[in-house]
Amino acid sequence: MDSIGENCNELKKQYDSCFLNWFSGRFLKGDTNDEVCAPFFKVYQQCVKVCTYCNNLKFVHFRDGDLS
Amino acid sequence: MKYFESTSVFHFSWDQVAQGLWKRYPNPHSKHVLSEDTVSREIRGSKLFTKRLFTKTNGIPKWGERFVDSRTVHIVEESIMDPNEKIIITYTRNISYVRVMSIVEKVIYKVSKENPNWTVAERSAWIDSQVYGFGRAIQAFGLKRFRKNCQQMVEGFNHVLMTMFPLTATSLPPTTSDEATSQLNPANEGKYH
Repeated sequence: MDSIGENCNELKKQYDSCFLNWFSGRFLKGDTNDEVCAPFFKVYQQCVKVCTYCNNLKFVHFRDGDLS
Repeated sequence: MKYFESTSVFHFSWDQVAQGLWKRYPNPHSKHVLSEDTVSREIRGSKLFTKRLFTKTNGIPKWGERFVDSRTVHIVEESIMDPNEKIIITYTRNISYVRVMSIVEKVIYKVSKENPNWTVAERSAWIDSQVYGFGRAIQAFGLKRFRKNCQQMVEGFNHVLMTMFPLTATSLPPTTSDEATSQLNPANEGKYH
């Protein structure tokens, strides 16, 4: 599924892939250490946060913490 | 305010459903979903807390266009996954056009009591509109569309689960493979007020 920011798609794909492997291989088996995907998440999230405001979201009223 | 509830059963295990929730889009029944992003995710204790942002086409009828001037609506989904209790709770709400029409949906996914290899999804939704003079019409429209979308959602999710877990899908007994592998239970539907 595409990201809200076109240029974030590649970063999203890398993060999603890491997360899905961790989720089924570790989390569902009881391992709650999610550090392995943190670096991918960081760069992907930075990209999304910038892009959410470049998509003409003038009618969006984010509550505090919606994007935190 | 309109209220709606329904129950569906997926002939997949809780673990499979949990994995499937992250891959449910795109699917053949989700042309209205334009984007999906994870905006926050953390472990608290042993549970996984996730927040995702979706943009969807707003699908409003012509008469609604006077209230809404964008083709898309933004939706936040917050979820809590507890792999020990095997419970998933999702809360989904639109964050744009909230005054025009607000839909809050809560779904609880649990292991089926009938069959430990199945998962039950108990859905509740609250539909509201604050538009002066049109609130009731908008709520009625919202409820009708939500009910229809539930069916699409279940079919779409089943499609994804069958693709991800074809062995489970093919092991479904002949009596259930011809009908939809989940049912909405109309007996639980809405109480309006």
